[in-house]
Amino acid sequence: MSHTHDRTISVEALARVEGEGAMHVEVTDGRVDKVQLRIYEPPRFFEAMLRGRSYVEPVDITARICGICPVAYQFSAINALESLCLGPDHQPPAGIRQLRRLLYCGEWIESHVLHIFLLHAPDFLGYAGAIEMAADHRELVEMALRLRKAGNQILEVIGGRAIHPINVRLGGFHRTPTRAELGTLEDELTWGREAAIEATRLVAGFDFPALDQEHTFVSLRPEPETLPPGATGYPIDGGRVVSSTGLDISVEEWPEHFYEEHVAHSTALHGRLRDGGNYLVGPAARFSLNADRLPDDLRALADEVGCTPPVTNPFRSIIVRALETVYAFDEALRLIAAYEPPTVPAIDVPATAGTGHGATEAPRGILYHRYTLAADGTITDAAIVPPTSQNQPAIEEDLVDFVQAHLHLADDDLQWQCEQAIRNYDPCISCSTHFLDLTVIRR
Amino acid sequence: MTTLVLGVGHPDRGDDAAGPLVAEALLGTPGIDARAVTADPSALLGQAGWDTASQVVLIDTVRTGARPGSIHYWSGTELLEHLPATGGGTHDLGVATTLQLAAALDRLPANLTVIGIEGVRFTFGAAPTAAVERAVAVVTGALSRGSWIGID
Repeated sequence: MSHTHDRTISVEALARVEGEGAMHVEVTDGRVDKVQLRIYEPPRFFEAMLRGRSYVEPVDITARICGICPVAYQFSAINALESLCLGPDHQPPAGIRQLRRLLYCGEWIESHVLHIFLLHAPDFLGYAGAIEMAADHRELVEMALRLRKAGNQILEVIGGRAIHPINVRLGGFHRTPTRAELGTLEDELTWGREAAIEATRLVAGFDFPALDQEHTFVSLRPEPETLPPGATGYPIDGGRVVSSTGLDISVEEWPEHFYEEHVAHSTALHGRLRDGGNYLVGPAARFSLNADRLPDDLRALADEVGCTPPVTNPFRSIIVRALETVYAFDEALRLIAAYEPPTVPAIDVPATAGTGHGATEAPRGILYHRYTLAADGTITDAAIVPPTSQNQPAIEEDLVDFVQAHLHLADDDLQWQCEQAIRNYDPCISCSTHFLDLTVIRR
Repeated sequence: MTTLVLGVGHPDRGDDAAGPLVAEALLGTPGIDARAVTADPSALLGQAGWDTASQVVLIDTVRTGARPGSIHYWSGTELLEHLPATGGGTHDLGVATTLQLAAALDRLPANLTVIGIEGVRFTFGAAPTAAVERAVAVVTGALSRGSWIGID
């Protein structure tokens, strides 16, 4: 084996220490043999830490896993624990369910806006990053910061603070806001909805590299009979698990159809379908399986910008994120208008022996939690399956084709192109500047 | 005059907790509005007072190769001169990029001090190292006495 090129690029000192991704590529006689992506995966540690703790604790503890999507962790944990302890037919009152979905809308707005405008748009507009883009597109960046702030405000009003909300508990909230408090959000959300519509038109005009990847899409899909009046039921805070290959199961059936496996090159587990193959969760999957669940005007917007299911070019996921951002603003306004303040901020959730399963749609895809409890509520087992570990095999598969098509590039350029390709999936990797340590071995 | 003190970091990742620990320790200190920023640093730009506070102090864990627990301090403008050109991450912006973005938007606080505490252990669930805990105490004491504020 000749080792003709081996290059490593490091992160710089003041980068946040959320971990980093590494990519290993092997090429023989001009053909890509292997692409391995290593992604840091914190939930493994949390699963171990949760064992022996009380069933009321995962709501706060798992929120710490991710600074961008703490709400997703909170509500996947709540869904799992309440489905076990309350049973499928007994749910908290409408007002609590409305606040949960509203809080989740805030998180979608924050996460999607960050990704669309500050991380992904610079790739399409030809800038190294948001800073360089800000010099020429100041209004766009200012708009993005204002949109994010609108999402933050939802988290502050309902969650108690913008990051790692502290007001959420099993059974409901520690304190529920008044109608008037939610009303303070409306003006900015109304502005945000219109701004997000314009942003959707803007990003739909980007030039997208040609890439067509066929994957099995998996997402949640709420049952129509569970929807409150006025809701169209685009998946956010629950639903059945459906796929583009015809799967339609309850969340309780998840372990029978999905599994995770260890791979030698990564600390992250890889999610796979038990009947074989990889799958993809996230905005493209959600939209492809649930476009009919968008309100009529948003479906019309999707048609107008040429975004129709299935979305098989991962670069076009930025359009879906923009559409979902509009939906999150739209849904937030609907929920505020429909809000029925509950008579109690939380209902009692008694400890129950058994196993509970829960899933929600984090901004980057399905987040599944499973907890097994003893009769006194002690957690004896916990499993957390984040979207990034589910997507990782599919990302690697896509990268084989992508790297093959770009092998003529120098390593610097190849790294940059690969970072852009990986960014399509918005994985939980790192916030460091150059997140990828790329090693290319050419034989 | 109120000084806005923002402690950036992850409370459950060893030495990365230094910023939040300083912010927590300064809560209630007269003349200081202390807050922990425990996730996406681009949230710094949305903090009340970022654009208006007479002084802003940012505390973060850094890795420069110095001895663990070493305390670095820079003015905002001084730091910006030494930051490398940046690209995009996948998940959030990072402190360096956020400061550069603020500068590009003319939103860098006029009086910004950045205090870096050299970290060495970033394992999930780990406590901060003794060296960083000592540095946290030193920085907290200094800020509560008004030192290291407004060196620009």
